Amino acid sequence: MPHNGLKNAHNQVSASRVQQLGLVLDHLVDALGGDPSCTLRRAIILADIDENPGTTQSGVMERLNLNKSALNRDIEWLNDYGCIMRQPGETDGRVIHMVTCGYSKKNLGLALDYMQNSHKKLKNVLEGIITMFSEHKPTLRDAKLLASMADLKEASRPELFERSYAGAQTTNTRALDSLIDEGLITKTGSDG
Amino acid sequence: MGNAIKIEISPRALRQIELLMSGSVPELDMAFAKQASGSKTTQEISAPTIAPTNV
Repeated sequence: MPHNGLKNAHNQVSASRVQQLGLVLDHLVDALGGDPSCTLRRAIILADIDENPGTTQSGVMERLNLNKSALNRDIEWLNDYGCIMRQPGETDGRVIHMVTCGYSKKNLGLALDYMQNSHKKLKNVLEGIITMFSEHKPTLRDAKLLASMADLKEASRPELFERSYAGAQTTNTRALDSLIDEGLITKTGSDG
Repeated sequence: MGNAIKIEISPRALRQIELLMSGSVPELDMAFAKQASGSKTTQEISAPTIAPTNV
């Protein structure tokens, strides 16, 4: 939609890089069925398929060094949510080719606008965030909280949650607690 | 009122995010990078660790 294009162009000029990360994550949530509980890994898989239209599952496995069972779950999810289409190969029907499609491709494109349309840059940013977590598989919600904190520097929990995705209070609280456990966010005491 | 616990981002996490968004991937603080091989993906990131340079 032209509105999104204009909004993106405006945001690319006016938002700081850290703020742009939050916007990228928003577009990725939109690209993944509006579900912020999706892992960053799933977003990387989607970006990889978009970067390599017609790729096969083994192609994704090799490029991203993922094991088959983990990848299967994500591919099934992406297919069920209409993010990708799967088509049997013309020469060998046993080989399934994948392409991104519909709302998912469109919103991924909006995220890529902030990455100079480079899938590689987008994947590197997401992978870089994943490496910040030692015990936890980060979700888009986790990354959004982290990006919002990076922008705010210091905040109260309600101030931070205002910037997070809609959901049960316990969901955001749990996500924040995991960021605190990972040492990415720290408590600074009380203001009273 | 007056008793809200404040939270803040760790300086290291902030630096990492700023580096990521500036496109300085080779300069990433690889101390964050996990040693376990199972979860690594792209070759750039999963390349062997570079010791932190800050003193």
